[in-house]
Amino acid sequence: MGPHSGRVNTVVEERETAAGSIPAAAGAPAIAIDDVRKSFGSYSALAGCSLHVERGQFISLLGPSGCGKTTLLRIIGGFETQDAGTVAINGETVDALPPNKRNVNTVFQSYALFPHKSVFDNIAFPLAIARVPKRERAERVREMLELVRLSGVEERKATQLSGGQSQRVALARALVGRPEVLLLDEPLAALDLKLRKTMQLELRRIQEQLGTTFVFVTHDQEEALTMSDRIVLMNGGRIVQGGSPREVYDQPANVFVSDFVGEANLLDGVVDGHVGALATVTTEAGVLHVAPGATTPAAGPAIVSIRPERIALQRPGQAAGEAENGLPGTVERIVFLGNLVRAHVRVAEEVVLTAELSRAEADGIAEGERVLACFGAAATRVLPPDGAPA
Amino acid sequence: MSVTEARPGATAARGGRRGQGPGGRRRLGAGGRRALALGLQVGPATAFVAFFLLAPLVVFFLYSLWRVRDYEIVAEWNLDAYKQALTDDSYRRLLWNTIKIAGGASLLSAGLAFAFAHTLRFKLRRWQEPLLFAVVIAMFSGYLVRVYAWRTLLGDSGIVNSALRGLGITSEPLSFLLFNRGAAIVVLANFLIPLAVLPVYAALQNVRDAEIEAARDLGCGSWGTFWRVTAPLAWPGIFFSWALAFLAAAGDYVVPQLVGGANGTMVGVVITDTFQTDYNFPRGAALAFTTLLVSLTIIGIVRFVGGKVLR
Repeated sequence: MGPHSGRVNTVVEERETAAGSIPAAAGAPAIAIDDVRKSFGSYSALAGCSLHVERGQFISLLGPSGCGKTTLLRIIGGFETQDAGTVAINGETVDALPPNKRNVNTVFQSYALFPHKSVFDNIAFPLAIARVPKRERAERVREMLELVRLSGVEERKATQLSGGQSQRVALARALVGRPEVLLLDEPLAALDLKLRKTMQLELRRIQEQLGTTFVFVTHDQEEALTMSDRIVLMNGGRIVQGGSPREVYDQPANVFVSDFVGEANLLDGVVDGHVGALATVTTEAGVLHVAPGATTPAAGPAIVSIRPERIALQRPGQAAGEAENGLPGTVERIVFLGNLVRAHVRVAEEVVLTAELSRAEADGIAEGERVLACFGAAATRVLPPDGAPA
Repeated sequence: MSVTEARPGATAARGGRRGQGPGGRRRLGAGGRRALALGLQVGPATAFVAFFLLAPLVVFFLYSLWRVRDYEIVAEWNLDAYKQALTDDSYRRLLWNTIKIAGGASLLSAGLAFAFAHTLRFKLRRWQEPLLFAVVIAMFSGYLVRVYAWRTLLGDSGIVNSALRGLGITSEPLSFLLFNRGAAIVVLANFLIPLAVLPVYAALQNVRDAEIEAARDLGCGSWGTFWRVTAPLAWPGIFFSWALAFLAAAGDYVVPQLVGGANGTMVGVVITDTFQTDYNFPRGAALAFTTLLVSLTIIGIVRFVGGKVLR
């Protein structure tokens, strides 16, 4: 596994450097991570990660649990020491610095408010440590409470707050010291869905208002898509892909990304020819015409990924559309989702495609009906099979 | 039961609405059953404490206000015993000595217990269970056996002195090792440390790693984190373990007798003598209550001041 992990990272880093359109004069990146490795006993949590984060960006580290994203965050914060590699914050190498000497603050997953202190004293805590004069402390705490839109709870004990309030206090406390970078470790995980959605937008507003660099760890792809300037996908201790939400959704680098970000129909096949500019892939469900991209193997086994919302269903009698591909199949099941309808169409003995349709599109399509599952060549993404280097 | 009796109407109504199950229980409503369960849970313990602890205390408090005449206690109300306990020089010196010894022993044991529990919680996590088990075993090992063990260790012909003499470092046994205030403090602390470890350990379990990391993250060094987060969060446990040790030490009458010597005597010894030799129950009781009151006052002050300082 070792040798090609390096190659993956190089690719990612190049892409990131190219994407960062901030002129070089702006100085060092907010965070520069260079080939960081970390093992716990025999378990390799980080197998060589390199990443540059530009100043003022909202970046999400996204991946399944155990992918190393929290470990990477804790190494940036100074709570873990890497086995190899370096971390620089604003161009200054921080590898030897304890957390209290780094100009970085963390919002912990459990909030970690001090239960013996009032809300005011919690937020003023870093200021008290830094010996900021009392009057200024009060002023800055008030500012922060305004920023996180929470007032009138200053005198309450930290233990008397609701989850959402605790979240805002933890955020205010981490920001009051004006850190260069704010690290957030799945801070919304404990909130209910509605509150989580509100806080996602709040976090983004606060980040834009302050211009602070945010590094946000999450396993929730929707959360990452909602908030981030950039998403960095991690899997198995490696950085798999980095890019804007649109890039990682539309141009996944491999099957993992395609499957983890959003939903995808994945069809095994073999790239075996060309028709004009299009490549052909033979799958169990028939021959597909696909638009080749950077990730398309020249020939041999491949996996075709199609997003459910890119598939349209046509009844056999209807006039053929412009889509290059039309797979005949049977509607097995229709799932009503309120704003959308999801249809499962069996197009081969072992292949069921999921199509996401609007209410109007789904009108009149019933379970058991014969349909044509249509999608354009540009709607597909051909990926190297699992396990092959990207 | 009292709930049922006090609000029969309400209970019956609630019972009816809930629709009681099989017939036999019908007469006792939901509220009644809850009251009964509560009574069964706390009743026996309350009765036990009332009968074996509160009742004797009340009796002795009454004794302390009475008088002895011809070795008989007579119910003549007076405050002589208290006056004597508070004004008599020898009693005052005794009380002061008791506070010094109990204070020294409790500080020593609470301090060592905290250091031990802190190490266990933060540095030796892997060994928490076996080491705690060892502490519990130490707690249940014989009290007198341990006091005598110290005499064997520190006495004129004890291990320390024999070793020193054997090595030619001393020719005479070091007599200051035993029979003085310092010896009483050390031996009492030895007995109290296991007792003090458990509450402080429990309190340190409530200090979460995340809070410590948050303090570090927000600018605290190790000392700052300790004083601003760990110690305040563990304070209830620290206080409790110290207070437990202080009360246990202040009431001890065995250690001062066996290793305390002349300046290591304590009020407990005198109280026992007053009861057992002089049969002067009023004076003994008054001395005991005075000691208790002084001890509780000291504990109250420590609680208040500690709570203010560690915030």
